Amino acid sequence: MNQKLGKLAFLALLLCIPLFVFYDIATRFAAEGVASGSAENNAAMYPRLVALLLLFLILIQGARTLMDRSDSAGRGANLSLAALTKYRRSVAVFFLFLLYLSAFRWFGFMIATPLFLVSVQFVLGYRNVIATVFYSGGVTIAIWFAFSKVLNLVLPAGDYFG
Amino acid sequence: MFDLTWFPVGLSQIAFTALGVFIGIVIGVLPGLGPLLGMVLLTPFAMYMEPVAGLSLLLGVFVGGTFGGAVTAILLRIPGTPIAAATLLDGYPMAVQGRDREALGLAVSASAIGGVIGGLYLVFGVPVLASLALRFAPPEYFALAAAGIVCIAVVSRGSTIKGLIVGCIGLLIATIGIDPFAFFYRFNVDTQWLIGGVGIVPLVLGLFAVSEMLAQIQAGNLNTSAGVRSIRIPPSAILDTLKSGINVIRSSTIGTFIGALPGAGSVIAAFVSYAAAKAAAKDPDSFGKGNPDGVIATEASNNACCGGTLIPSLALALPGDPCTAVLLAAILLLGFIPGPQLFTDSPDLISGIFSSYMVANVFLLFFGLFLVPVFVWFVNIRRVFLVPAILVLCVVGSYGVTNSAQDLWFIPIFAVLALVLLKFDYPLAPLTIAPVLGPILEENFRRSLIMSADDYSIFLTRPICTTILVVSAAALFLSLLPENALKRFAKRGTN
Repeated sequence: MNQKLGKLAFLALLLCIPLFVFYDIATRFAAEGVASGSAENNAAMYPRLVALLLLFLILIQGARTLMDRSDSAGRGANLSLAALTKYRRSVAVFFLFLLYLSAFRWFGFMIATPLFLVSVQFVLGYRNVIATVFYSGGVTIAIWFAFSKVLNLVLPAGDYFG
Repeated sequence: MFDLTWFPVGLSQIAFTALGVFIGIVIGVLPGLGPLLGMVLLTPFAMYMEPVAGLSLLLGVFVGGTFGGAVTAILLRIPGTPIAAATLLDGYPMAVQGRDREALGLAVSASAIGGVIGGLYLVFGVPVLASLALRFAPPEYFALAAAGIVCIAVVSRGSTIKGLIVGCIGLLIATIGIDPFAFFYRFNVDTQWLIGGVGIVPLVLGLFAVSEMLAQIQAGNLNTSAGVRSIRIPPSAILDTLKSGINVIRSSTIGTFIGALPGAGSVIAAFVSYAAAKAAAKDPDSFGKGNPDGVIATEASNNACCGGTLIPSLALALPGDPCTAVLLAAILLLGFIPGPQLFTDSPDLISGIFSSYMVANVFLLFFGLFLVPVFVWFVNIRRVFLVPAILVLCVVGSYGVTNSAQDLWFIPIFAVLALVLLKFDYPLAPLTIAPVLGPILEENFRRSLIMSADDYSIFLTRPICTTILVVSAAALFLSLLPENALKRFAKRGTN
């Protein structure tokens, strides 16, 4: 993807934020009667001002990007599929992280955590099975002890097991 | 099992300060990690402690983490934190010349002494500023918070406009949840999930910790050890540092004052102090080739900077950098309202913060001189063991603060946002600070208008408020001018 196009696409994405603010103010805020009036009752006053400022800044940045003759983007604004393949390990760990967040609630800390640690180490290329088992068990117990016993925090036991 | 509140305050305060400094140095020596990550990960622990002890733990991490980066900067030419980037200019050449023990000794002594000097400025400066701030009304607080956002955007990495864009996004994120005046849930897209707003802890963990772990995985070399050999530091390093007393005092003063400017931070302080030391030296050409004064200047400055950043944070509730934003968030989570009222309402907490900051620098000296072999052991731990454990700590730490499994989903959202913002050279610091300053900004903005019956001229009729706003606008205007125009202007002035 062209770098300038990538920057503009990102700005277009950012543009959705003030547009959403204006839309919510025009619909939900207005329906509740908090989109106008005095400073005390006008819940939209401040976010509207910030959204206007954000819109203005995005437009300025967009104009600057368009006028910028050098095509040197930031640290690789290139988001082509080929560029994404080199991120495969971090993408895999990110998906494991999302799975862990789901499993954290469903299966609880004591089951989800060692499974997550083992799978991340596997994705990162570590193949010593005994060390991985001791590591994942040790880290799980250490964190459980610190939070559950020292801080008296109840870690999720899991929707299926709790 | 353990009740952390039974210790007498003094003892627990000292113990947790020491623990914080130790953990801070450990996190600081690990390349890519820094005091911010340590403070965020330990915030859930701090919440369950007696307030002074909890804040002592976080202050210890702040002080220890600020120094920690110097160890790898000197031994490996990899600054553990960006703060230590200036230290490697002379620290690494000293190590190459076989003077690694001397360089590390000077770094730790200068850090501790600089930290104490910064602490003295803090102890004497904050009450004066706070007593002044007690006379402020909502318009002045609004102006100060606005100035804070502008300063952070102006000095952020990348362009000012990008910094302001990110700051505005942060301010809008802070508006999610219940309106402070009218009983109305804003921007929650009719879901229960967003009713409580976005917590600062999952936000910072996503922005800085998880995104950093993903970046480290991307960088590779996860299965190799740094292979640093263990060394011991001679205690005589303290005397060697004191021989450069003027350099230490000058660098600490620069560090404190730059630290007190919102957004400027330790990195700028270290480089400015380095330049000042070089300008004042008899042999400036030796800088960059292993001059001990280069190490002393940068390390004294960046640790004094911690005291500097605490000055506006404690006196005005104006965080100077992401670390102090987390500290202010922790003060809020512990049930206190940061700002000048804290000095009259909770003097014990303030004196606890002051004493812990000083004690932290003493522990820094002790640990730095005697425990370097332990920290070197941590440097040699392979990433394949660190990354998964830190990811788990992020999840459990966030859960510890919010007690909500739903709020954990903010972490990956902000991690992705951080990676995308960095890809396009947008700074992250305004996104951390804006959610802390946002509620202050909005409340005081609307209170000012309530005071003036919706008359906006209130911001231009009060001298202090007007001055702050005009100075901020001028700084913003200057930073937005193209570089060529500034050079032409400077040339005309010289002529």
